[in-house]
Amino acid sequence: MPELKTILHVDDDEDILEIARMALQLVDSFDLHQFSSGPAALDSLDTVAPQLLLLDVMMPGMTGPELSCHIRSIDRHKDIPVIFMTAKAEDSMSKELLESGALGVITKPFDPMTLGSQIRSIWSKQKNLAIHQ
Amino acid sequence: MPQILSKYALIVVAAIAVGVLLNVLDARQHVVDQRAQVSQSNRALASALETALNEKILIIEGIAAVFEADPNLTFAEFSRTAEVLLENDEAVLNLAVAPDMVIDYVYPVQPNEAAIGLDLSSRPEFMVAIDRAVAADRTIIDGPFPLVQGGEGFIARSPVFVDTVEQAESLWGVISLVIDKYGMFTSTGFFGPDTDLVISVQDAEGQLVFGAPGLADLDPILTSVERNGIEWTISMAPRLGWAKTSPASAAIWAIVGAFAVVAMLTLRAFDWSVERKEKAETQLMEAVEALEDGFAIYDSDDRLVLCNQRYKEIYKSSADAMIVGERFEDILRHGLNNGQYKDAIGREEEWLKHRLELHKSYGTPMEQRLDDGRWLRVVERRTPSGNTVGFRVDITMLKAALEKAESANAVKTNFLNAVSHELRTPLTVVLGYNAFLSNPKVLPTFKALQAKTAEGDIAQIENALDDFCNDVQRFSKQIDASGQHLMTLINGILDLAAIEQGTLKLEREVVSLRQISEAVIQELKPVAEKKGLDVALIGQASSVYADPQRIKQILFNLIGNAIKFSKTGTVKVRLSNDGETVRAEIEDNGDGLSREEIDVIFSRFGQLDMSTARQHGGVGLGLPISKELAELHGGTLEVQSQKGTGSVFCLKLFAFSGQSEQAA
Repeated sequence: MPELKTILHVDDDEDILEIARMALQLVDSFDLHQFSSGPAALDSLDTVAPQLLLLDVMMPGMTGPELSCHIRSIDRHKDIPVIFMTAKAEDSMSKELLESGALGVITKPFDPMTLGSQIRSIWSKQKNLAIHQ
Repeated sequence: MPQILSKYALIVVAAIAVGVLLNVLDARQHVVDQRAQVSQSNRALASALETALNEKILIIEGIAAVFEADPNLTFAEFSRTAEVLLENDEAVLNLAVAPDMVIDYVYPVQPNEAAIGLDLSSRPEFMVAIDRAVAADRTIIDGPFPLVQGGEGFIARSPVFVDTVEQAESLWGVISLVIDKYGMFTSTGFFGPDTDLVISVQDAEGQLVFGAPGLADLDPILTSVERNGIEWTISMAPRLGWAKTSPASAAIWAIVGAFAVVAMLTLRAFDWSVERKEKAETQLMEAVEALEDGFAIYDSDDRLVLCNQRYKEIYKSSADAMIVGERFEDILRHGLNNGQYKDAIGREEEWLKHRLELHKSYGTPMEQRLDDGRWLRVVERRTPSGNTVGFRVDITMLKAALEKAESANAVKTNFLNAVSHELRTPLTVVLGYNAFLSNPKVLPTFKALQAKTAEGDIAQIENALDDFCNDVQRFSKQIDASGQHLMTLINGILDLAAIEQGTLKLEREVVSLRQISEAVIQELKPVAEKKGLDVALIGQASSVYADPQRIKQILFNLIGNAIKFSKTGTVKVRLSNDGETVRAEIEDNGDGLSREEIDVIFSRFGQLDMSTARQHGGVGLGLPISKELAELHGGTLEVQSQKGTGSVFCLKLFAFSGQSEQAA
């Protein structure tokens, strides 16, 4: 499992995009590609070839889970792990997302200073899982 | 009651009839028994009389035989013989021997010595009888005659024939025996202990020989006695006549009466038992009918015993089959054929099997949905006697209330989740930007400022500082905007809470809807323009007496929503008067609302599906708050809409009519 570098981030809120961008590019040095909607992200998926999808849950038009489902239906992208970011704090929501195959769930508000390390921590979990397999 | 009395009367009549019948039969039998008894007594008496006569005949013929053997018998020999023969026979008064018809010997001599020497042939009245005895060559008894000694008596005469030289079997003489009538009859028992009987003896001519006269009227028992010239008939009857009533009559009546009493008591007990049973059944049925729930009893063979009207009303489609004796399964099938059980449609046999299993499990309550939309709670229990008691409770209201409560709870949960989301999103912005303000070293503009500061070029330092300050200002502005958004949200929640608690106060004044509308449109114009929309204010309206801030809040919400949901074209704000009503109609070009959606959007904590919320933001508080505010002003807020044609929200308020309204 290679080191996490390229992240595709989708969120409909411009401020969240801005804060996440600063957190993941300035605090950390990820190769971050951001989109404000699911369809826009799908269009650039082949170009970006992300290692990880960081998706907002509640988005107009196409929700995060719907986008994830759509990407999983594409054979060449079906194994890209997904971390959801959501302002919905219910345990049931997180459980539902994890059961649907998400690698992790990050609840808003998040700390921009530790967001990168939080993502890496979840990523390593996926890595350990791969080793065990 | 009359029916019961008639039954008792019938028993009394029947008892009397039976009593009379038994008495008649018993009386007849009693007469037969009496006659048999009297007949037996009569035959015994006749037998005794015959025996007595035989004794007398034996005596006289014994003496005759003695003289036939020895005609020269001395008186002494005669007396000894007579003494022996007459010993213990008090009825014989005397015994006389008359050779050649002249009395020669007599025994006892006293008081009969006067008869010695009496020539019988000189007494024609004696000779008639003597001739008959001679002619018959046997003893003949005549009488009764008055006796010289007093009283009456019979005379038995027996001829004596001896052989002589001249003639064989020559009449030697005659032996006579005088018998006391009274003595003979009393010695044969005519005055015995059976004094209840009256007895008489008649001769062949019907002349009374002995006893009481006039027995023919008593229908006596007759017995004949014939002996040596005697032809008597003994008549015997009860002294008081034949008893028409049996001595057992009273006992019969007592027994019949006792049976009648027992029968009446039994009947009364039976009637009482029936009355109690009927009363108990009536009470049970009244109680069962008084139940608000359906009630039925099935027997151990699962056949219907009874059910109340409510049970039939609940199961309308199978009520026709609810006949006493009908099987539970057949009633179910009847309902199934009529589509009564909603959950069974399309899988009737499977449903029936499961239902019967539950029915036999006795005690597992279940819920049942009917074709008319009602819900039932079905409870079935087994009684100790093997019957099944079933209750059907209509829980439609309860079910609806439960669903409403669950729905309300779900709406509230959704609302809280939406509030949580709407709070967390601006908080993310606030905390996110603030994190960079707290840690500016990560910002490129700060790094540039540090670099320029180190180089010492004042102009470049100022430029770098401006860039850094721009970042700080931008972050602050976003923090402020998010703070404002949070404030709006919190105010909305507080408004709703105040309205719910009734603590929201209106600051009323005379205000112009037109002016407020213009101000709201002016504020929202940048938002509309950003979406390429126009907002048109059309018409005029009278002033209203209202809280301008709250009216503005309503119009801001309605016009803001219209902009939010319109994709193209013009949002129209149309003002008008309709009598005393002032009308503000806000028309959008959105997707329109279905009937169900219209019901939801005005409800507290209600909101269309979360995708709509996600798409347009908000927590679904604007419309419920606006509606509540309109109603607090005495007005209304309604919507006319259908899917695909956009919506028109109509705010109606009362036009300001003058001083009185202000005073109010």
